[in-house]
Amino acid sequence: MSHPEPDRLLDMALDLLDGEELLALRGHLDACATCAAQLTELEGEQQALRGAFAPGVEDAAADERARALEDRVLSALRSSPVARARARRRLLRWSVAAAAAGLVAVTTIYLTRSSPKQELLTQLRRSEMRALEPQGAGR
Amino acid sequence: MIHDEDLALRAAAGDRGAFEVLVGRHARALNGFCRRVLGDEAEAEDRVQEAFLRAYERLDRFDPRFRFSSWLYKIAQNLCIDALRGRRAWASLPEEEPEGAALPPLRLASDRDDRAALLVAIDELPPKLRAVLHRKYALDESAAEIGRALDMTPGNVRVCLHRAIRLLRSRLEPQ
Repeated sequence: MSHPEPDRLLDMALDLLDGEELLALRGHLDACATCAAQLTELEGEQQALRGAFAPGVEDAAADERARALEDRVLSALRSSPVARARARRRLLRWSVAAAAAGLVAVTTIYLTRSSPKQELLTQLRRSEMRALEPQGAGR
Repeated sequence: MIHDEDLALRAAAGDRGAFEVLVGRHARALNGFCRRVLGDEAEAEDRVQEAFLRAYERLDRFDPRFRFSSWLYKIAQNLCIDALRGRRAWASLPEEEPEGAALPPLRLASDRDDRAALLVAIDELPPKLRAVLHRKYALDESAAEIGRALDMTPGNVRVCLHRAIRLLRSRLEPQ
């Protein structure tokens, strides 16, 4: 039985294979206990590497440093010119929106109040029209 | 929980609080990445701060169809690479195959000493190999994703992974 190159087994442990190559290697591993044992060792190595990079195993001093870093970033962010400019733009947008809303409200109130006047004018125009009608009309 | 990408959009519209949430979510892990690549705690913190400020300045260019974290890591990584290129440290990889090619896989006990020894050995690898390993094991990225992030082909990513593992084997080989 011919065995795959050790690099191929490492590729498999590294999850770098797919398609026919992966299927062929799996087929070989089903029939070859030696290669299957090597793959198990390589997977153990991968487990150790994942463990080395896993979060949450750092000490209290690391927690303290992480909090200090967050504070430092937030402080720099607050004093950055971009943050100030963006805040000014946001304030301007709010001001414009508030002014537009105010203008709409005032106009609505004005139009609502002027409607009786409008009605009065319409009535006046109608009575003027009636007055101008010929006296004998309709007889 | 609000998605990172939605927070980024809110921040772009002027909601600084939304960006502060993003800082809280990513600062620690991003610092771990920068520290791993640069090999220096203080310099990593400088790059993290710079990366967040740069991301904040460029929020208008962020495309929410992509992950915010990928975008942020790319910014931080470029800052780290620039720093390493300045010291001519980024491109340097061992020319010859390390002796670990013939060595058996690492067998580590799960105790703190073994993990600490492995971390020291990782920190002694060239920066490019450290970056590849961090993306592979801490960020759980595929070879294609690592390649895109580091401007490498998947074939080169494979070479880097093999090389890194062989170097670690040779450095941690039982005496």
